[in-house]
Amino acid sequence: MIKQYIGVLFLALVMVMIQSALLPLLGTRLFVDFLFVMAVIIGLFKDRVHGAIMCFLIGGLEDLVAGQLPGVFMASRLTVFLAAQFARVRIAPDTPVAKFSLGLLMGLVDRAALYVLYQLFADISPALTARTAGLMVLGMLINAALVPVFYYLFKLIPGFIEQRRGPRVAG
Amino acid sequence: MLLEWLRRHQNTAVPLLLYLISLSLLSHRAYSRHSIQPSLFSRAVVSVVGYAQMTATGTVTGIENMLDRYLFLAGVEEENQRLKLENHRLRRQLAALEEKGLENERLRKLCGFERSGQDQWVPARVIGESVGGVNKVLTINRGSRDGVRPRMPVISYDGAVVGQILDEPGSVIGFDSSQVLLITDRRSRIPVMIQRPESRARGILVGVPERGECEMSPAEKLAVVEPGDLVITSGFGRVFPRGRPVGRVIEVDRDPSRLFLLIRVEPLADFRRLEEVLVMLKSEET
Repeated sequence: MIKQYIGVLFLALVMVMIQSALLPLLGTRLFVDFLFVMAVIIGLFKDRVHGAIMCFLIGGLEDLVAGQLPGVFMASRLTVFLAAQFARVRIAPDTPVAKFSLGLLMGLVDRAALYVLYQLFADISPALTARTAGLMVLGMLINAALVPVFYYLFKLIPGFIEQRRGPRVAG
Repeated sequence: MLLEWLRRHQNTAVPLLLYLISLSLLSHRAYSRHSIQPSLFSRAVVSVVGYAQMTATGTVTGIENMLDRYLFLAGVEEENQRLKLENHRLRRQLAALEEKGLENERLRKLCGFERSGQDQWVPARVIGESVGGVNKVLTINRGSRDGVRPRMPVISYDGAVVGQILDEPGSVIGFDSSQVLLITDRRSRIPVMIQRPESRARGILVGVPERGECEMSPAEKLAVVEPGDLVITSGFGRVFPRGRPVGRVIEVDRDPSRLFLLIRVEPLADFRRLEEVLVMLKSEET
């Protein structure tokens, strides 16, 4: 389990680095959020206790790097994780399309959680204009598309995604 | 007893506990009136991320430079000619400015103003941008080791105001990296004025991140302000020295229902192309 925690945190660090240092250099200014995608994947494959701790930690990392009120991303990533856990029962995330749909749904949950947290705790909450809304939707679509991609990345962490066994066939 | 209960209900208790921690952290920092000293752990994490960002930025910039140097040599001759001409023009300007500087010095002495000291700057490289998409924050490769402190002014190489070192609850200055709150961030507040001599209208410049620009308000309703006017720092608030260029007026909203003018300002600094900045460690004015 310790290996998994280290693996997740290392991956989160790499993702933060790509998101904050490399993407801007390539001219990308979309709301691409790799750590959100990580929270969705963790919600799909981890049990509630360890998954919640992992999402709490990566949220904390994001808070530190974003120059944000500490706790905003901790709480929002935790919300996404719990929502993904709840949704995985209803949407079997076996196919890439199902994972994409779930990512889209979780994107809405994430935005809603962030909106509520800003309203409650920040002096100034982000205003929504047509341009930012458009960028946000585009970002959500990209994030959702990244969910199936990240699934394969997480497979690299030893034992993170347990292989499900198919039903036994008699005879 | 409690441990036993926690063990039995860990699926509910752990997420609930984590929620409680994050929300109490949020409310504590959000409503705290005093700045909180960041822990050594936070500074270490920010520093590690800063080093990683420096490495990534350095690698990409190195590759870009190599490509620029060896592969994309087309048009070098024309650029060389253009730069020579620009160099001549700048030399002329420099000579004129030196002359003006000397004249200014003489006038200062005549008026009895003494220079208390020189501004102290440290150059910094931009190594990252805000993550999450909500804030307008840059990460630079200078931190506490270089003397960077919260609220220090940051300007671009051509002198335009970029922002200030982030001083928000929870913001952390790493050993070799720190975060800059851009003037287009909604949390940014800079006392400014219109440079035009017949106007000199004062106000506070607030960021509008959705449009990548700022708004100046409140300015007196009868103030003489026109699109194209230069907006400079007023020196009030003692964060930014007086007279630094910030932006240019692009629209003046004279809505009669408002008590004050609302002035849209486009920043002079091009945040998308910003690679290096200067952090003002010490100013003779502030």
